Amino acid sequence: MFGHVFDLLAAYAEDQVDASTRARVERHLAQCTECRRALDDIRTGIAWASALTAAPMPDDVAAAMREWLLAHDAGSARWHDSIAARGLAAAAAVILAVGIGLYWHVNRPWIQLHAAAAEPTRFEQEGRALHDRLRSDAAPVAYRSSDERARVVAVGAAVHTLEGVRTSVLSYRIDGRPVTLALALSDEVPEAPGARWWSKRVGHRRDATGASTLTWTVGGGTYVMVSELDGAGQRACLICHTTPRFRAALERLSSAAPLDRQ
Amino acid sequence: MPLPPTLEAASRLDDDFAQRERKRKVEQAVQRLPPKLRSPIVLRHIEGLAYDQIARVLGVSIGTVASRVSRAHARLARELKGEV
Repeated sequence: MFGHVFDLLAAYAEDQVDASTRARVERHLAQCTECRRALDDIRTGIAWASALTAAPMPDDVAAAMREWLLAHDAGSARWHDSIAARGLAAAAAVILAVGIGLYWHVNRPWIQLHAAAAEPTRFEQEGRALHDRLRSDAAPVAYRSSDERARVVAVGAAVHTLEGVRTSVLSYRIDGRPVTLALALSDEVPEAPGARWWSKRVGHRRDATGASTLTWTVGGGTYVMVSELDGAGQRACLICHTTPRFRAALERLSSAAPLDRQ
Repeated sequence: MPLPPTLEAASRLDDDFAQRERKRKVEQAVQRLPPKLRSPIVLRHIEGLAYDQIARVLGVSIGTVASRVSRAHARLARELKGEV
């Protein structure tokens, strides 16, 4: 039938449409069996999906992550020549900052994803290059879990120098795809993306290799996250947002002092 | 007539098991959705975001969110039909 309203049906069923759209959908439904049937399906789907709850991070994964971070001291892994005890502490702080930062990101409606600047900053370029280096020489997966929800696997943590700035770097995998996250103090990073204390601006670019690079500044830190995740790489955000126990485990890991100045 | 205590406990266990099993199947069905459809479902039902908030997080229009959520729910219903 002409003018089907399928695209609006979930919003209609969940009362997310304005009055005029609601009236239009109802006028169409009154005369369209196909859309009424689709609405029934969508309502069933909504009922099932409403039962979803955040998947907790399994205890063995949280414990393994903590063990890994605490056990890997200087020189114990292939790309860890610069790692130090304070690097671990800083990396733990990075994880915490990411958890909190991403939570902030989703819950601050004025924050949007922007196109990246025309030319990447050197900090962004070096973060991107670091990702390739880590990826080509990545340590094997540190541990496995029988739990299929264990989608985040820590690979390594280190302190590197990017653009002459001391940077905490965390390498991990999500569903087997490598992710590199680097954090430095924003006032030490030339051309850091501008942000006020209450907001942030996120730049996103995807290069020919399929790698997605997000850069942002928030809370005094400048971040670069490189991944080969779908979309804008926000799957990493979703995992942090949807596993409160993951965030809690990260908070427990961050008992040491946060990243500080040298 | 109420069930004897032992049967009542067994019945409760059965219910618990069935509920867990249903939830597992729904989770698996959501995992099978392509990322474009899965992300809005997760943001909607786990994070509890409104459609306009989902649009901002994913960097797409609210119309795109509405369309993807409709498709995702319809697909979930089809996949879970007769299974749960």
